[in-house]
Amino acid sequence: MSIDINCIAVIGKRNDPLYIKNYSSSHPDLKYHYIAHTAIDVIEERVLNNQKLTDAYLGLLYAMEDLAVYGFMTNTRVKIIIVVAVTDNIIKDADIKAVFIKVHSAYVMHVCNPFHNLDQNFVASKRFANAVDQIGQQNAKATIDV
Amino acid sequence: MNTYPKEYVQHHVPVMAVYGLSEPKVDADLSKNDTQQPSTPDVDPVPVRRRSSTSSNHLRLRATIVHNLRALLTSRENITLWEAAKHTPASGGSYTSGIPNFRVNFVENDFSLPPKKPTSYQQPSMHPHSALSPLSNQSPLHPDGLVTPQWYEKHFNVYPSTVVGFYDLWDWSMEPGSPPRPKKEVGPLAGHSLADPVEKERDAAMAHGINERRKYFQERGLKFAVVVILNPRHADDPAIEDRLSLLRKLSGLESKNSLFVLPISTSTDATDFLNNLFKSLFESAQVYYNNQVKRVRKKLSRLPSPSVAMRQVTPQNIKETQPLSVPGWICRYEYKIGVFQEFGQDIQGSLKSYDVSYNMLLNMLQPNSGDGSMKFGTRRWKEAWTLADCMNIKICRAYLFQDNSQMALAQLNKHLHALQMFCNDWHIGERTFQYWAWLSKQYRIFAEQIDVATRHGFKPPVPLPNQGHSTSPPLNSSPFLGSGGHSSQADGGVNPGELLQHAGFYYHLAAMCSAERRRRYIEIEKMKTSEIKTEDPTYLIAMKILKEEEQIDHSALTIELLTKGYEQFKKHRNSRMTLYLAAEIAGTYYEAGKYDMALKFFERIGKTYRKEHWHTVLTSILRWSLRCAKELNMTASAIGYLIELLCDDLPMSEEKRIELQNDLEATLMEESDGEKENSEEPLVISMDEINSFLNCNVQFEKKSSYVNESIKFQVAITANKQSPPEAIVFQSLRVTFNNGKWNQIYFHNQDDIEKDDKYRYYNCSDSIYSKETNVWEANTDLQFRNSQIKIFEGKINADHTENLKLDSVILEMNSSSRPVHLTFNVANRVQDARSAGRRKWYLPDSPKPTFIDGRGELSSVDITQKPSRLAISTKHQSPALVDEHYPFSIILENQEATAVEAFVRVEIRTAENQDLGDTIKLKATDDDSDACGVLDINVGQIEANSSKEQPMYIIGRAIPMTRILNISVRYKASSSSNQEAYFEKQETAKINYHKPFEIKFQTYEQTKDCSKVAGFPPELKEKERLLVIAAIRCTSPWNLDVDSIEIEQNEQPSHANLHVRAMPKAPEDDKKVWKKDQVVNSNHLFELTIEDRTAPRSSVDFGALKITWRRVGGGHEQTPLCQTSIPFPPLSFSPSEIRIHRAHFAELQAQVEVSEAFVFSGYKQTKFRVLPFSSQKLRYHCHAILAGHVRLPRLKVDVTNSGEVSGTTDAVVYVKPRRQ
Repeated sequence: MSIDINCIAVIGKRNDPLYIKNYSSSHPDLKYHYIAHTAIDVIEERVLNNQKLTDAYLGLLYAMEDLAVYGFMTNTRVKIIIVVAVTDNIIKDADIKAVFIKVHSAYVMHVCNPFHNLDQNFVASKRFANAVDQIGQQNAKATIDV
Repeated sequence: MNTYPKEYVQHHVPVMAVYGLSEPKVDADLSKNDTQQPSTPDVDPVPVRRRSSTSSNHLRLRATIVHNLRALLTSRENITLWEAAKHTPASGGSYTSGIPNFRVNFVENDFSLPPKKPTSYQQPSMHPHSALSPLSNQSPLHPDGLVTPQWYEKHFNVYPSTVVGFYDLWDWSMEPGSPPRPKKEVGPLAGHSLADPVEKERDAAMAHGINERRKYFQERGLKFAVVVILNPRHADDPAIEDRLSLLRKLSGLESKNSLFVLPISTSTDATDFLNNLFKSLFESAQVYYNNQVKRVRKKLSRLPSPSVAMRQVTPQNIKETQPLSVPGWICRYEYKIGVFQEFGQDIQGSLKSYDVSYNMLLNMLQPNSGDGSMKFGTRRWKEAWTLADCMNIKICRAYLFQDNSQMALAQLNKHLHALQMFCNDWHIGERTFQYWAWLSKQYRIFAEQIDVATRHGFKPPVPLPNQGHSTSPPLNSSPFLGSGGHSSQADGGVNPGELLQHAGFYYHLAAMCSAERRRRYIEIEKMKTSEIKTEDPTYLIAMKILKEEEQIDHSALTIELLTKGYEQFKKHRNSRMTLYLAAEIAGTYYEAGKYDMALKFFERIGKTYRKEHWHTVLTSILRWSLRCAKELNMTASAIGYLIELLCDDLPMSEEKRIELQNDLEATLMEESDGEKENSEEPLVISMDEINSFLNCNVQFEKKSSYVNESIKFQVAITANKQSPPEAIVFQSLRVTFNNGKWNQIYFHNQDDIEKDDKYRYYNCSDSIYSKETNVWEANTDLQFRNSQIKIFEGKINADHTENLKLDSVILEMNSSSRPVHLTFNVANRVQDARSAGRRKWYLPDSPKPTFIDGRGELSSVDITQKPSRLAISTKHQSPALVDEHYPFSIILENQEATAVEAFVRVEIRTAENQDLGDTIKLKATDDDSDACGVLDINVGQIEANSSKEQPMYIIGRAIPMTRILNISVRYKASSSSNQEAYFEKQETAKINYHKPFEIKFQTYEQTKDCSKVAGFPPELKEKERLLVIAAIRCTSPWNLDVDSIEIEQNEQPSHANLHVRAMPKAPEDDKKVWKKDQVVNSNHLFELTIEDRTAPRSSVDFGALKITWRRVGGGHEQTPLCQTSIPFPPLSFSPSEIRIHRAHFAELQAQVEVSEAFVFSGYKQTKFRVLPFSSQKLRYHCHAILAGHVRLPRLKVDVTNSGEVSGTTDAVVYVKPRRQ
């Protein structure tokens, strides 16, 4: 089962971008910034309309052209967005959720740093960036066998 | 290729032909009637006059109803599948509440169908084909066409499924100039025999006509129905039922739903009638179309199987056009079946037929493996492609109608993929604008379909993750078992490409395709101008239609699609997506060269991205805006964008940044011609509202300060870490205050340029006031580089009190024409005290700031007068005594070197805020006129380093409780001006109060003259003397000088018939000094007189004992004497006389109780009788055996047998000890 991750974005609770990284060569960074920004709408709508939603994983948010956008929102309203290239295959929720959980744990590791100030500008640490990039690049290259 | 034939795309409903419903031409006659005969009320007694006027009314009413009917019938064109098929669900189940729809044609009364074709079996050799069949020579389809829009024409206008005729039932009033009809007999005698023969004749004629029509249409397999219009007169006619049933019988309209009656009256509702008519006729219309389907199917069944037919086709003569192939025929017939099923609202059936037809057509279109009948570029090829597109639309629509979003999208994708492949083979593939135009159109139409569906309740699916399975993955997700497609459902997951989304996304796709089309077009255009000879067929084909393409405004098309998408997203409340689309719209405007529009959009969307810190997006928008502004020669805006782009937060390479900075400098230095008129007005760029490359922080050193003290402030300007990449020099730095008097301006001085230290401190405290410009000026260094922090410290010496606020910090840029001000609006900043860091104060030599009191930024300072030092103290001798003039002094000590003027306000109150009438006086006199509760005293001038004592007297009344004195002193330096505010100092003093005296009263009965009581008639007047001994104890801690003790008699005795008189007393000298706890007895003798001894007795308040006194020593000799009044206890007759107040004889028993102090002679216990209103005297001789205050023995008297007991009170007698 392959997931072709094009972009991983972490968005703060005030809807400000914390970390956005493009792992594809098909589109410019700007496109993913726009996509991540527009995904906030869908996340807000989905959370509002499905109050019973207990899972942080929100599923497929929308598909635009050849890109599918998946969303995840933590309890602290930090949003994680993964943009995947649309192939003709079915993308399993479990697969994509596993990726989300990896990114989430990287984020948690990052904010657990006692010197990290949640109220100030997010500064991605090297370790966080490496962790996320590893997830992104691994999946961007080709496949993970589940 | 821009539009499809409407017939191919619209949704079909059964066709109905209607005759006899022409708009009446009687209007002229009606108006004539109206003018000739005034309208009369309905209850007109004259029947003759009434007839014609009512008939004209009826005609008018009929005309309006007919008009309404016609309007309603024609209004039902262009209805959507959802509106039409509500009546017949696609599943074919029970009818829902919807109302079926018809397409209505108005035809002449003698409407007839084309003559019937002879059936094929009669003359099989001479198969006469319809004029549109590919087999007939005149047909536009000859010899190999599939379908033509003209075929629809036939089924819309020539062959209806149902024919409805409207007839007016005859009535006398229809005959012009006819005599009034005799009123019909009503009742049991009324019957057919009495029916009007003319009427009967007319009805029969009408029935005959109807019958002819019925036979004709029935023969042609059409449903025929008649609507009989009754005028209002018919409604009252009892024979109408008979007439109608006769009519039904004669015209052969006895089957169900064939004859309808439309009574004309004011209550006729055309909508209801039509709905009912349509409902009743819909089924037979369906039958008609089913028959058509059967007819076509029969033809279809006669075709050979396509596989056989394929083999038969041998290219005998390529040059000659081949007749329509078998698959072509199948395609044609299946398509027709689909259309007829659609007419009959069998959506499920039509979907199947279209699908078969569509697949057949795709096969035929296939460039290489097809049967070759559809050659690229031919008319037939074009027709087939159009038909395929239209069928695709219909299939998608039907799937959407069935809520099968997945299939709808699958159909679209199938169509797009197939045609994409074909296009490549046709050399109009992805490299050509034709392909993108076509693709854009497909997406646009699909979006429109979804939009319509959504408006009719269709909901695009929401791909929510499957929560139930998230915790326990099913077994078949194991890698060993493989994961087939079906397992994905259980696993949760979708193919994002197969998810149908709302219309906005497809409009967006269409727009993207449209944009691509433009790019391809430009490419081809370029190739044309470059005149490179190429044999590329793609290029050659494109060149052929380049002329057409040139006419097209691509950008307008793209913008239209984007706008549609924008509206869709707006409808779905995806505000951020709308911003994205707005950005795309702006980009398209830019490409189209409409820079002003583009700029408008960019400006609108930039705000949100700025607010939410999407810097990458903002950078892009700013760069676009900059380009637009430059194109439009809007220097001011361009400068704004350039300045914001310098900010570090906007990601950019260093070279780019340097480029921008150079650009900015060049723009500033540019001589702008266009904006000369504004050149005086500075261009203000509010740095707090944009991402700024400089941060400005201001601090006052202290929150408050005094007049004439210098106030220090610092302006810290920090450049971004990376920006500006090269040094930027400002002309001046202005610091403005709410009071313009203190405004500072620091100019850049070339000589002052220092090395590129990270931290620089500039002391601008020595700024000099310039009378020309009215600001304080100084020179400093205003060159900034990245990572630099510069501190500018200034000083203000305020000369009056005010709340001084630092309004803004303005950096003026070096520009050749219009000044550019970078403004930091410090006063408008909103601070979050919690998140703000501690206040920093920089020192000249260390970049490390020291922290000062408070958080955030301090941009205002309170300047107040320095208060003069003045000490307040009080002097008094506590405790005070109630009622006395208590001397109290306030001492003000001026510790300043200058004289002050002071005012004192003293206010007295009790601890519980009771109003006891306490007063304060300045002078110790008996005159109370100036005494008041709040006293204002002008103390006057107090010389430097001296003190002043302000004496006063406080009189506390009534209750000995603690008094609190609020002293407030307002003062100012004597030298200061009148406007100067006063300082105020508060002080409180507590004064404890004591009572000067405590008095105990004792009352003793003296003598009583009872001699006359026993007489007859008894003397009613009674007198008694009471001795009141007041034991006055001096409770004051001070010695008191008592001047006098006097009786103060009430002016009015409190009781009418009881008189009290104080017996004259020998004057005694009360004047002496009383010490603390000393008790002085003061004896007073009163005589009580009562006129009627039988009257009820009460006590009387005689008055009070007034003690006049003053304190001894301590300067009190000067104070007036104080008077303390202590009221006497109520005086009353002593109750020692026992009196029987009753009118009858009483037997009494008296008993004397033993007392230690006395022995007595007489009966200890005795019985006696008392006559009514008489008295009995018991006399005892007591002999005292103890000295001092002793109690007399008590006498107790009982009334025998009644239990009433009375007794003497405790009478105390002072027994003097015998002198030894």
